[in-house]
Amino acid sequence: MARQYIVPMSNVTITSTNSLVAISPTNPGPALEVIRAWVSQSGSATSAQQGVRLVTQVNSTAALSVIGTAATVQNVVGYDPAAQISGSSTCYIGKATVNCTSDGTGTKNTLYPDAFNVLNGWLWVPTPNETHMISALSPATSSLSYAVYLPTAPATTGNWNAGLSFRELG
Amino acid sequence: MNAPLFYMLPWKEQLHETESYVCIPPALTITDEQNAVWTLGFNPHGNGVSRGEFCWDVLRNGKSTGEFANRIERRNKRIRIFGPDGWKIWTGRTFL
Repeated sequence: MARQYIVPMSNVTITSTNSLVAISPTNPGPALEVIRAWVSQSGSATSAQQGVRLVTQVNSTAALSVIGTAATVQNVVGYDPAAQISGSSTCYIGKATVNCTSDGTGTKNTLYPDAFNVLNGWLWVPTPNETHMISALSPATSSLSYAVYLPTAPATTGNWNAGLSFRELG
Repeated sequence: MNAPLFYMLPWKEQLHETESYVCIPPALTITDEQNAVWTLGFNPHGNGVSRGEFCWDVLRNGKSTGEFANRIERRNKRIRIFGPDGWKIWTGRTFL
């Protein structure tokens, strides 16, 4: 089985309508198979509906990419080697970023739109045939990022969690 | 992975109890009347697939219960899981 990694964002104050967690495959490098995404909050006990999307974004240069806090890419299996993507404040080729403050100028393509109640959180676990695959772009100067994204600002921005779980293929 | 993630742990005080018929997924967590937080972990069952769906370990307050499931459901104040052995119900100490 391909090695599995997670990119978590835990208990942070988010910035309005930006990506929460974003990853971009290396070039050259293995394709990434996204097998789980999640979002939750613990800052409010008030019931409310919230939109969420899983999106891809093409970024022609690093300067136009999603910007935020460098993520910590964690192994699911402790003795596995580290993932080929690593944390960076700019989600460009081979990087992972959380709690984004700017989503850059790339056009988002929505792969999976959904909504959830903020008291229960949101978990996306596809069937094995419905996982999302992302791979590097050509030319090598462009990057494809994949993100969990909130299209509308939540009523409470404090104490949010989110994450992506992926496998490196090949 | 050893350390549970923040969303897997109970809030410091009981702020809400999850309604009946809420199911993980698409919910992320279920909070029962004892303020225990239920969710799916990251450890797969066998090859990771059961009954055509991904199957993961069942966590209670961030700790594995020893069971694996495709989904966790809150029904009539009970916690139920559906996994490789079908439906099981939490008795307060184990799943039967």
